[in-house]
Amino acid sequence: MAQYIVKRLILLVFVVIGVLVVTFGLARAIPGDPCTSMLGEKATPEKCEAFKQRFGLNDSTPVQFVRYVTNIARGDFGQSIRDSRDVTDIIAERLPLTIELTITASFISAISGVLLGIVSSVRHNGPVDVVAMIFANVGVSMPIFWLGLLLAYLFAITLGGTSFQLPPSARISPGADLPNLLKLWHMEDATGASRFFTELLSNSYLLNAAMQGKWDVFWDVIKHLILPSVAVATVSVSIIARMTRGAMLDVFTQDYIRVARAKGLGERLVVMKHAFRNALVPIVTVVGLQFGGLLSGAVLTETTFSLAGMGTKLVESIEARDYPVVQGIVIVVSLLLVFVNLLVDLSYAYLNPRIRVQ
Amino acid sequence: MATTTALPVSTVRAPVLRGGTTQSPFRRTMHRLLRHRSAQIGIALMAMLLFIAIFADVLAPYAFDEQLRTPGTKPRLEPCVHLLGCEADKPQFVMGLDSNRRDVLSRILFGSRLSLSIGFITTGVAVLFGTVLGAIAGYVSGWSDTAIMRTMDIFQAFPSLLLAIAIVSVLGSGLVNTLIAVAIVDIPTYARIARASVLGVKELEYVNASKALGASPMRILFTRLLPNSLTPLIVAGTLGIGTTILSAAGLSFLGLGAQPPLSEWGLMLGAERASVFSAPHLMVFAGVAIMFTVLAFNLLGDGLRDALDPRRKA
Amino acid sequence: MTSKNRLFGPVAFAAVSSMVLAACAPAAPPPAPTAAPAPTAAPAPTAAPAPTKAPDPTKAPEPTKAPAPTQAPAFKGDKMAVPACKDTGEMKSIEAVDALTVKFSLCQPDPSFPYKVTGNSFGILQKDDLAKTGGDAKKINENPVGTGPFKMKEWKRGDSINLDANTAWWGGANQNKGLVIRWTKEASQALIELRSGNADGIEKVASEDFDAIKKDSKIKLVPVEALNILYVGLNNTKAPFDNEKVRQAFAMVIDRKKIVDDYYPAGSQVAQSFVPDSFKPGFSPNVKWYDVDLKAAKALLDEAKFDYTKEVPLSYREVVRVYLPSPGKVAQEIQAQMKAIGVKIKLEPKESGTFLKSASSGNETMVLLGWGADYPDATNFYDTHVGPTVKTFGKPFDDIVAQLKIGDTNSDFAKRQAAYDKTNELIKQHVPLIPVAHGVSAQAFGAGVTGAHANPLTPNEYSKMKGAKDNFVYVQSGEPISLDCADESDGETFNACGQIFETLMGFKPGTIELAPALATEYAGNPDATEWTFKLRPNVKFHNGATMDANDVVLSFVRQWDAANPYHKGDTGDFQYFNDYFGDFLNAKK
Repeated sequence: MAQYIVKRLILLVFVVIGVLVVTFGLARAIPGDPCTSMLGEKATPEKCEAFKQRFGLNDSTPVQFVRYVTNIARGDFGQSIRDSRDVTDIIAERLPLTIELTITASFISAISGVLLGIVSSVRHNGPVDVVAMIFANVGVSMPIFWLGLLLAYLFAITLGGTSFQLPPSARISPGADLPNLLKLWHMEDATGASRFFTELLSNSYLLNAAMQGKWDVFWDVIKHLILPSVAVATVSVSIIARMTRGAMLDVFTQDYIRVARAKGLGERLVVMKHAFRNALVPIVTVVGLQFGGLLSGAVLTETTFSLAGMGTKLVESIEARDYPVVQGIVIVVSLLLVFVNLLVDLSYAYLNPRIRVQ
Repeated sequence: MATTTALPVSTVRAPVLRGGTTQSPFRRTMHRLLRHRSAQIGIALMAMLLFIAIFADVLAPYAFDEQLRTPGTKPRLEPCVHLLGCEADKPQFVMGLDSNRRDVLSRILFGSRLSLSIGFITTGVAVLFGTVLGAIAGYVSGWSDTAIMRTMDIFQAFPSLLLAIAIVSVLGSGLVNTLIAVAIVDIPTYARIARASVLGVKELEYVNASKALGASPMRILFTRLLPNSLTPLIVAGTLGIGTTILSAAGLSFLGLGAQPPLSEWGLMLGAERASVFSAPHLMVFAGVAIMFTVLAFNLLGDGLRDALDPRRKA
Repeated sequence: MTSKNRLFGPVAFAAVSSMVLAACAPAAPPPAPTAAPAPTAAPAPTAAPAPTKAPDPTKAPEPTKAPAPTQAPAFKGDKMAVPACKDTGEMKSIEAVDALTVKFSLCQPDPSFPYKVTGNSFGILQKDDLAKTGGDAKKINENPVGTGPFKMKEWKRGDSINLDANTAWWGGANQNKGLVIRWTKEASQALIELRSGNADGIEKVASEDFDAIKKDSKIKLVPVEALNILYVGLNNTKAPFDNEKVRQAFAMVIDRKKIVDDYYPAGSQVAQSFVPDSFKPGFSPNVKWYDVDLKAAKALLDEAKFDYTKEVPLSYREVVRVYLPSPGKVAQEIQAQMKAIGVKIKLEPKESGTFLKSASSGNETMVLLGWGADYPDATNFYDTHVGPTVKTFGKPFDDIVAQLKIGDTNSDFAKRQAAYDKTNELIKQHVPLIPVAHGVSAQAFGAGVTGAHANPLTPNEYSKMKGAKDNFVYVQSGEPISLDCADESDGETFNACGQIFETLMGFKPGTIELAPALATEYAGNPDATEWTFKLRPNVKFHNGATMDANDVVLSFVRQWDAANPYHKGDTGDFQYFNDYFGDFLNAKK
């Protein structure tokens, strides 16, 4: 196992460097003079000179690349052009929502996907199975931005006024009292990593509310998360349900299940203990691999629900040609995905010893 | 619980046995495909889509960019179907009009052309490049294998939509650039499939036999190795068309893809987003159209996978 | 002196307002000469210590600090002056005459000066706090110290700005405990927020939703006066618009009524001339724009040997403004209309910043663009578009520029009106642009909100509104960029900082009628080159300090003087100051 981890880590370093090279290359591939395309209408010859000086654009490409990587390693993603704030600050504000959304969606899709898969495999070809599989096929075919709009319409307008009403936008009800932890802990002057992580924590409204013990606010935040996470999760629910069903059906044909049944074990025990356990390996992999898709989904869904996450910021920054922010977001989200994929690989290897040898 | 226990292994193998004795592999596959329930629905949907796309000119009552100023029309006119009880003195528009007084039905019908071409072209390009890269990696091995596959790893490290957005932001918005971006993002999937299947048969006897007979590497690659990867590529490609259409619609929805006045469905949704609560008909039809198109490819892909792989039965 | 001043204020007020916008007297009396600037007791600019040695002409003028006026020994008034008007824009001096009097001297007449200082970019900051923050927008964002009805509680980035009521506000009791400003780009989402009771008011109502809201008893629509123009700009240095006949032909094809009927909310007007009809002087009731005449247009195009095979690029930005509620849709409409006579239009949506820059440097052939008034004077429309330095429509037309000069430097209503009438005729003849529409907009509020109003030019006064809950919740269309509005230029940012910082002058709620704010009265000299503002006494800043004239002087000087240590802001552009008053002092060239 240790050898496998080492091998995997070497690969990881390689991929990380690759991600940096690609984003660096993309940023350089922007047509036109980097200064005018970066500063846009604000570009004047003297500003351009200062800009080139600051970003060292007069140096050779390898020198520029090394500096760019060193800066990122130091947590310096440069400054936003639109509002001249540090990109790191922007990420600290925007990342928590996207992660909250992706994780809630992961839970929803894992739990309901697996349950749906098991039920339809047990009721194979029965009406439940047919309905579940129709749902799975439709769910995977739906544009999620459209689904988001439909959900918003349904739960905010059609069910408006009932107890099922859910908010169609924003992260938290207006006026909800959830102070920033920097203020609460008197850390306004903090800089660097401590500021970054406190901001991160503070902007994860779920964690923030939980830490301050404000459970009404916590519930409010959850309510705001429901619709977008359901929208994000739908595609994954469908994929996981189909995968689970397939894996379970495979297991059901194995001899040891027949033996278990022949022994007269209860059906519930057979399904849950014998069959599901063994179907778990492919299921875990598929659940883990959904993370990338969920992240992509979060980008679209944030736009539909006007949520202040990485996705909305990305689109906003592309429209404003705010390339440092675009670059920062792409790098952070991709590295996050690389890291999650590593965890998936490792847990897969842990669950399935054969893979380590290959 | 009787249903589960009544799943004998024999039924799974049954089609193989039945088909294997009398039919050619192609006919056998077709036979299985036509008997596959979801494939049947997929094929029906697909036939309908193709029919609509080919005969959009004839079927659509108006041009996709024609603004209607006849009496009784107004922007965002609700759907009106006489058969369904809409008063006869009102002009009939099955799906209503959009903000620019264009017939939504006609736009949806013409949109099928765009979506299908987006799906086929993009996936075609991605499969082509992916296969070539994957086959080279698998066949040549060594240094070029590492180089190609690690590059693919890197591209797959990005969340797909994010990478597509990043590429579009460099290339600039527009339909063609969107196609390029989505195709680039899809290449690694096909490269992996092609490489895996080439690797799987590279050392088999029939390949070695060709080698011994002095066939050129190119010949071996194209006549002996690649045909073997055809099956998984067809399946992945069919499923991939659906995903591609979704991604392209997503980019258009965000305003980065197709540009007006094109009747791309994602763009139609994005452009009329503000009307979602005041004129819901502008949101419903384009979304349903995307859904059915993607569904058609998914069902067909599922069916193909099952039909081409006798061991699978889901 | 005080009594004289008290009398003088309203007189000058009436004079200027009628001169600039009043609907009544065409020949308003020029500002009463008897009411010459009262604070002459203070050392006049001429009395400023003149440098004894000959000034070095190559060096930037050295700002001089005047000694405090003698009559108020406790108060030491600041002053910044450029006596020779060298290397500066319109500003000549800014001076704290006494603790509650500020005088601005200008290098050229500017009858719209009192209107200009209503802009939120000219909010008053506290001098000690400026020293603390160094004029850095990032620090000002954290704890902005103004005089306004609300003070900072917390800026939840990406989500909301939360403000608390300022109990020490001079303007009376605040109706709310706090104000929450939120934002969403989607008008439809803002509307749901309002419908579901999460918001008390929303800034932007999609034109699609006007009818639905009118039918909804839980919501009310508050219309905003149309002080804007949408135009199609034609660049006379680019083919095919280098031919006047082609420009005239295009003007005869575009059916402006269809555009207004289909894409604008009810109440919007088809533009007859470049300025809205409430602009007097400026609007010319006797100049009528071309009627739609496809035959005549076709004849003109044939005469000009127009090449029908070439596509004409129409560029625009996907930014919703009151003057253009649905950019892409209107662009497609124009495309379809031009197609009717066989002219092919190619749509080129561009990113907002790139587009504006490219258009203003004359690189776009045909643009769909508009203008919303900053202040209600004709100069704010004509000079910014058909003036001598504007390149958007190619080469400026000399005859138009000559008329504008008459209009700008005259304070006589009839002469100004005559000049603008001539201008409008010339615009119709040369067609640098096709005026299309004056769009009306509306904000929406919950039916139960009291005091609801919508200001056309400045932020609403939420302290005078009351919703269902303790906090008033307002949803606007974007997140503010910073709270140092001196260096910002967008309405969303102004709406937030307009609650925290106040300006010398304001408008009566819901109107374009000037009203006192931090200044209780103001006066101008006859040729409109000197403007004196009397400040409201006992105004407290959020940090407890009392406002005096030096706060005002510093708030302006930090923008004017590029060498001022607080001339920092967000990006350091100070765009509005630059636009209104021209060059900065000590600007790096």
